[in-house]
Amino acid sequence: MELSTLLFYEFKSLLKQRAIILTILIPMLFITFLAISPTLITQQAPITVVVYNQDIGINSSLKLGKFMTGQLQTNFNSSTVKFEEVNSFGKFSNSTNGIWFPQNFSTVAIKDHKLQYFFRESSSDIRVSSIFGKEIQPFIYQQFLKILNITDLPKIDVSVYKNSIEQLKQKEISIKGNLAFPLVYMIFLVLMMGSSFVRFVSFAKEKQSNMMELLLYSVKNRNNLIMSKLLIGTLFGVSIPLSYLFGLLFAGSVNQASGTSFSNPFVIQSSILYDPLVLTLLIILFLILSFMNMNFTLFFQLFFGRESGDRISGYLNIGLTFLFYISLLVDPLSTGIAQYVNPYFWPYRAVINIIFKENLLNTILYILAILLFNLLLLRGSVKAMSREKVLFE
Amino acid sequence: MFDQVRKSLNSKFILNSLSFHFYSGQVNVLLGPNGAGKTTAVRCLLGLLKLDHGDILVDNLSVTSSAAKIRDKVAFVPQEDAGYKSLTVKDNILLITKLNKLNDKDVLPLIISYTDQLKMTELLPQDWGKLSGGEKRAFSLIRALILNKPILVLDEPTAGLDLQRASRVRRLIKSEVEMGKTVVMSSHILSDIENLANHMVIIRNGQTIMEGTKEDIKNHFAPDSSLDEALIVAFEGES
Repeated sequence: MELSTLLFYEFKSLLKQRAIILTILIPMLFITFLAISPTLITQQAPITVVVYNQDIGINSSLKLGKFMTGQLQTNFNSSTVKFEEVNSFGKFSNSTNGIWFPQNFSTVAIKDHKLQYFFRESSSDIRVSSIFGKEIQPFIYQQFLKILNITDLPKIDVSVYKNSIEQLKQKEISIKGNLAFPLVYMIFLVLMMGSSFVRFVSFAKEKQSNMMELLLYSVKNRNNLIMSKLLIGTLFGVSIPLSYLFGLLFAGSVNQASGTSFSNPFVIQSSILYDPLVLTLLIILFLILSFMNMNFTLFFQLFFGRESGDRISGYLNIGLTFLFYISLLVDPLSTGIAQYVNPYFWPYRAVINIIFKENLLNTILYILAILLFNLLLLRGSVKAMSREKVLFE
Repeated sequence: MFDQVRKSLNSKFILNSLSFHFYSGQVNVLLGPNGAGKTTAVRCLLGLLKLDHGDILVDNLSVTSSAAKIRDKVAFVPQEDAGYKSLTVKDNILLITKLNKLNDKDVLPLIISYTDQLKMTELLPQDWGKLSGGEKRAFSLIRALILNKPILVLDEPTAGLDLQRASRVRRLIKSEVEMGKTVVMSSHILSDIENLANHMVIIRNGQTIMEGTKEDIKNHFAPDSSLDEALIVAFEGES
């Protein structure tokens, strides 16, 4: 009851401050403008994927290659992707993006339960990679299952024309980088803006409006005061990255609808965000980061008093934020002492691990470290709350 | 009752064996020069500051062991005008009444009744930040009165108010005392002291210089002069 009352009026008081509303809206407006501007000034041509169907089928009755070609043309032709059937291997091998169903495509599929086809893709236009990996291959697989109506799932063996193992590894790293690079930049922005935002929500406001004394006298449990600050701060803090994400999603939709190249980094970000798992994890990540940012500042404010605490937490926050950004600027997937000592790195790395399904033990350790760190700060804040000179300083 | 209360902040003694009584059903006025320790005494009374030594008893409850229970009995108007600037006056009042577990249904008629008495009802929807200092002061008092607690602790309740409002506020305080409430207040305004004070406590350098009625104070410090003159003498440390 007490906590909900504090939260309600804190929320109401913050909502009435124009500066706060602007702080929340600016990232969305900024990123929307930045990401849409290439679309506004350039008109991108759709990707052309050539399909060379050499499949002779089985007994001339079951021609999976022909079926797949037809399905691809029916289902994928849009303003972004155009399929064009070609009649020679030369045209396929000279194409920028192409799919080749070889002579024995149907035979291998039926006898060995393998889908063996080849594709080549542009190395400069990475939207092709995304479309192949996320849409075309699953589509072909689904169509295969449908047409054969079989229950025992076949093993998919997709051979990639011309791509060596090294190139594949390189591509994997580049896909990870495509997520991690913008994420590092986003976290940097979030932490920087969050640090300034914390000032709106922290106890500085109570001290300015002389409410501290009245609230301390009015509440039964002082911990509710800390919790109300933390929760409201987290809620408003996370609204900044959410505003950024909404701007990105909106701009991404506009760009995709108009066929803008995926090489536009903002579209890469937004296409990644369309994955519900990634989007959910990002929101959780931003919630955790906002909470940590708020918890960190409150602890210092309560422990060292408003002015000293503001200064110390401000310098530390900015220091850790820059350390986070600079240490990951060259390689967003790197780990070392500069990363391990930075609490803001822990949730970032845990989320990256979960998205790429790697280092389970590592992830658990990061989560435990985050929990411990926040619990220690909370405990410190509660203790500091009884340090009266801090409250009335 | 303050009993040998000692309190230091930042290694400096603010209250130094402070002892005095306040009487129920009366207006008890704390007086003293700036820095005498009045605000610290009030914070100690509310249990917001821990005592280094001594004790404060309110209705036989010790502040060292029962601060929360004492706060339940005390309505408080802080020295500064406390209120969230971006919230309306009404919301600022409701925040505190809700924290004191009062229903809006019971509180709203009281708000109207008190604001009508001070002719300030039309200011309720305004943002706190837009009020003048005097208006904030008056609403701080209303906020405390609505809590309907037996003891009222008021720090400079009429400071910054115009003559008319100051007079209405004094009338309000008087009527609360007539209803049996105890008032502990600090004030530098002579009209407050002359019109309201039943019992006066003079503090200087964290110690009680004297307590008693207006007449006692006047007779002790300046028998042939006014109360004003007696207080100046008391504050300056000459007796």
